[in-house]
Amino acid sequence: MARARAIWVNRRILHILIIRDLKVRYSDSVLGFAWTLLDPLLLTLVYWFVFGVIVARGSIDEQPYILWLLTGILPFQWTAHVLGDSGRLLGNDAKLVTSSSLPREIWVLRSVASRFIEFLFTLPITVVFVLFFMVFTDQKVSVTWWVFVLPLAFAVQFLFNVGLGLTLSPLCMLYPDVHRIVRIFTTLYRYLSPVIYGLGTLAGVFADRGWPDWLQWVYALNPLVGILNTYHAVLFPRNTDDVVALLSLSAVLSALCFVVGWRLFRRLEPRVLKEL
Amino acid sequence: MDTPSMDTSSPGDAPAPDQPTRVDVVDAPIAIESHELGIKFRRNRIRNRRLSDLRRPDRGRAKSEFWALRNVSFQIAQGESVGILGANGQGKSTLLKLVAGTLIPDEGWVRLVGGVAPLVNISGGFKADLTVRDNLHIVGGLHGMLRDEVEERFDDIIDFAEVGDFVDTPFRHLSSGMRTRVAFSLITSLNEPTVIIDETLSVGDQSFKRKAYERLDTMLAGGKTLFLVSHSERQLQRLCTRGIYLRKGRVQADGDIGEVLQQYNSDREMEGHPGWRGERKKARRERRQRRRAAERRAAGGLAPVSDVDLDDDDEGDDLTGKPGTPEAIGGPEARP
Repeated sequence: MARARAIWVNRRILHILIIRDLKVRYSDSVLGFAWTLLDPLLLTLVYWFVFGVIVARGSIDEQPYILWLLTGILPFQWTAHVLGDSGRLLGNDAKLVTSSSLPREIWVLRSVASRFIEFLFTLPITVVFVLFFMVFTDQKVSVTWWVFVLPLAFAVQFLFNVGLGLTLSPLCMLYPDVHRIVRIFTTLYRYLSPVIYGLGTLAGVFADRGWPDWLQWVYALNPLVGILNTYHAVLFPRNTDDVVALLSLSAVLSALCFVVGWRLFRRLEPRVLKEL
Repeated sequence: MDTPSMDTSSPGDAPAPDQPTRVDVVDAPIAIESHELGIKFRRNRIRNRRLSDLRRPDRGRAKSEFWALRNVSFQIAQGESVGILGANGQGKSTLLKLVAGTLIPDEGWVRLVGGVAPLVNISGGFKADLTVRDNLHIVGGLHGMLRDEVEERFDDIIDFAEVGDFVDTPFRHLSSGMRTRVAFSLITSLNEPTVIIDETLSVGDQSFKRKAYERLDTMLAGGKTLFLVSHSERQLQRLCTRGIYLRKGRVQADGDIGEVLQQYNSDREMEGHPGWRGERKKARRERRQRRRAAERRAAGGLAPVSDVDLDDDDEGDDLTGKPGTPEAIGGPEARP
């Protein structure tokens, strides 16, 4: 608890660090801020082309598919970036970490928060596409009431990301292998989470193959399932599963992840500092 | 400077390593207090730990671990200026990191009253891509300065660092001397009651070094507590009134700086090291040799290789402005 208070006292510094992150990210390259938009946009287009055009040839339930991808990939990238950061979070800024006695959790919070802001910056892409489909095509695109649950989904994903960062950043520092595993896992994770397909589609596949229902609940033990499902529900209420139940499950799992991360971080902190 | 009276015991009747000379300051409020402080490190495999260690962390541990510091206790009163001395690898820098809170002890505790201005890794928080102005705001903020305070002291910091024309230049375009000047100027503008200085601190050329010293003097005269890690005799005598001598991770002596230095020197000589006097002599000899070699070269002849001092002795442990270490902080009187 004392630790939490110390972090709260230093929230101004957290704020400064986040601003610094954003400044550094946009200060130097020619395209600057545009990269934040281009990066996920290109990724989405590639997925759309491969899965929407080549593989499925129009037989995908979630239409328009590019909107489906956007609502999944953009938030997924937030978590993916946090996973990517966790390997060098403490090492990269070692000089800074070792020149101040700030609560070290701040370095994790800073990564999660600045990546969150980056994620928010990419949301206009989705808005533009939604407007495009509403105005220029006759596909029925509408924003549902679930849009008001978004802040809650953001909060749950924030908690989950902090938990991941707290768990992985000290482990990556102490065991270089973990860093490599995390890198590979991030790629797998994109396919293990409902990013390019929906839970409805998945349930259909389970039914076709005759797989037991409880397997779906095992699948839902990934906290991102409930979170991404909520994002999808904003534009695709028919293709999503029980939003409230799954998001609640995600919230519980994320809280668990956070507690584990918090404890592990405290335990490994002295050893990590010796390595820096 | 106003130093609290302390009861110094003579290092002449040197205590056993386990019972260090203690200085108990009663009449001034405490600035830094350490109690039975200890920390251990691994001797080998520092980085490449195996995953199996996760499951059985204690396997083979006893052998490969050593205590870098143990049973270190002291109290430093506010306004005292204390130098930590000891040979290489005796735990000086580790103690400094523990006091600064950048390492967590395995045993005991250390307490700091109020904030600290750490002159350690001073340019650590600066980002190469941002301008001097942005950097000052951000790093100042990281060290606890409020936005208004940075604004208020901004011109002074820039003036002192002599970088008036580069306020909006990206930090990486500054020369390394300018960078350290900016960093030093900022950190010493922090209005914290305790100043921690690491021996590796470098502040730039001779003229700035003099200025840096003057500023440190002013800060000390203003009642700041100083915690200095060094093995430069001149630096210690110049800045400190009390010395804590670390040997093999324990407090060997604690008392008046002159007496502690004396003990340190006699210990060094007993162990076969020449001590400072010897090192200064060595430095003089080397300078003479180099000069002679240069003269010979100027005279047209090739200097015999054996006369040229290839090993420039840059990492010699005396930082008082020997030739070859122009950047190290040392007494302004060290070199003209």
